[in-house]
Amino acid sequence: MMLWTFFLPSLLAVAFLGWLALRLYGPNRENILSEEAARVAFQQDFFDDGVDAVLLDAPRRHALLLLDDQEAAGLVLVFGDKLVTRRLGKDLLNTIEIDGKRWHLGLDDLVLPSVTLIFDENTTGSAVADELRGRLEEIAAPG
Amino acid sequence: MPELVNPIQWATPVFILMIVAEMLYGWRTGRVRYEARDTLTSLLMGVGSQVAGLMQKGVVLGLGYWVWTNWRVLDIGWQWWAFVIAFIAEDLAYYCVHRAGHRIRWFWAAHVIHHSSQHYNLSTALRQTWTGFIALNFAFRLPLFVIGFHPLMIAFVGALNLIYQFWIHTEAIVRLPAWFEAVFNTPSHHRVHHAVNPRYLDSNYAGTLIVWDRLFGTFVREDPAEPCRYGIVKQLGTFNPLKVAFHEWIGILRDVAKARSWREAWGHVWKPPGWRPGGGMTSDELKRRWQARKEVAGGDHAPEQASSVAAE
Repeated sequence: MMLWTFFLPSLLAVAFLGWLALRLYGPNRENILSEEAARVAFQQDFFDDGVDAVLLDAPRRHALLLLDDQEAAGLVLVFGDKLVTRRLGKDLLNTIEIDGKRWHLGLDDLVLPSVTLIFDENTTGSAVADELRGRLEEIAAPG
Repeated sequence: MPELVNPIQWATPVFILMIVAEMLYGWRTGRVRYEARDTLTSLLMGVGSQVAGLMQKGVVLGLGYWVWTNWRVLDIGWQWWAFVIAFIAEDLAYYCVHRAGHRIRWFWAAHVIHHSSQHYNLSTALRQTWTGFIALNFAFRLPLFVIGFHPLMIAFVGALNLIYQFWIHTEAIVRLPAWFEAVFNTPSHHRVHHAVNPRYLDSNYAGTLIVWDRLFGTFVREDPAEPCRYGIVKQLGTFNPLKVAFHEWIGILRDVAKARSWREAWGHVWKPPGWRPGGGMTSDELKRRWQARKEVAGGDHAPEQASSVAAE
């Protein structure tokens, strides 16, 4: 009871500030990745990697990057109003399930365990998509 | 012994008012950015940290009393100058625990929480650890009790130190007068500390006095030509407070479980964050590679300078 009394004002303050942040700064639902933004964001974090091509998903909230390193691929995703990047190598990419336009990646990453990308038909039929699919399946293959 | 108030209790309403003021300022000027879920996560981490603090307070103070009673070298009283010296000594202890918090994965597992937001605003200041007690951070203060500072005095000046560090978590203040920047930790110095740009990594560990970084060679000045990108090297993809609080501890457990030798297991716990058998990507390695790349490129800055803000 005492603890509840002690923390009630804190919880009310948290609720108020959360509400105010939402009112003033909005829910950030922009669909906002461009190929260039994804490439730059990835290379800021992984500056040793060359990027050959970028594949944006239809909602433009995720991007897969074809790297010059044959044993990895890049991933960039919108997180809140920021971007998160990952370098998908054997140590990180566990599974890839492709169901038509929907690609589901399972990662060995507690703070980003899975990612689902939804492409349009033109994208999934492209040469870059073919190459990325092949590369991701190879990375995720056991052994 | 004087009756000491808990300064944080008194400061909390001021913290809230300052966050409201910064939110409004950022909303009007665009110079500060908040994101609702990020803010909520930071604030919940702050509340959780207070709960954790209450639960461990008795044990830590008890241990402090025991050390002070049985091992103290000097009888330092409650004179005003003792508070000043205690503040400086506690600030040095903070520098040490903070530096360990970035250089040793065990301590980083507790401290990473504070760095896990990609935003840098006053709410980030409240994004505090729940697991400092598990990491045994309090051990860095034990020498102060051996010297002879009363545990309550250290608790009091430690709280003042934390309060000081609140207001420096802002992008609203660019620079302060040169004399102030030379002696005290400032928003500019602390932005550098929160940045993940390779040139800024592992620097400016100070609490209140930046002189410790200048003394021990860890000071890096903010370069207006290289805007800070905030967060951690491997940015979080979750706002879940439980994952934010415990992800690095779970990472340690997983790595230790997979270790092929005791030596490897030791490395996963006590080597710098990012260490892996045979190398890995520690901040030292990241800086080395960045430096090499910079030299090849022949410039002073990384080849690409762009904001990671998605809305571009």
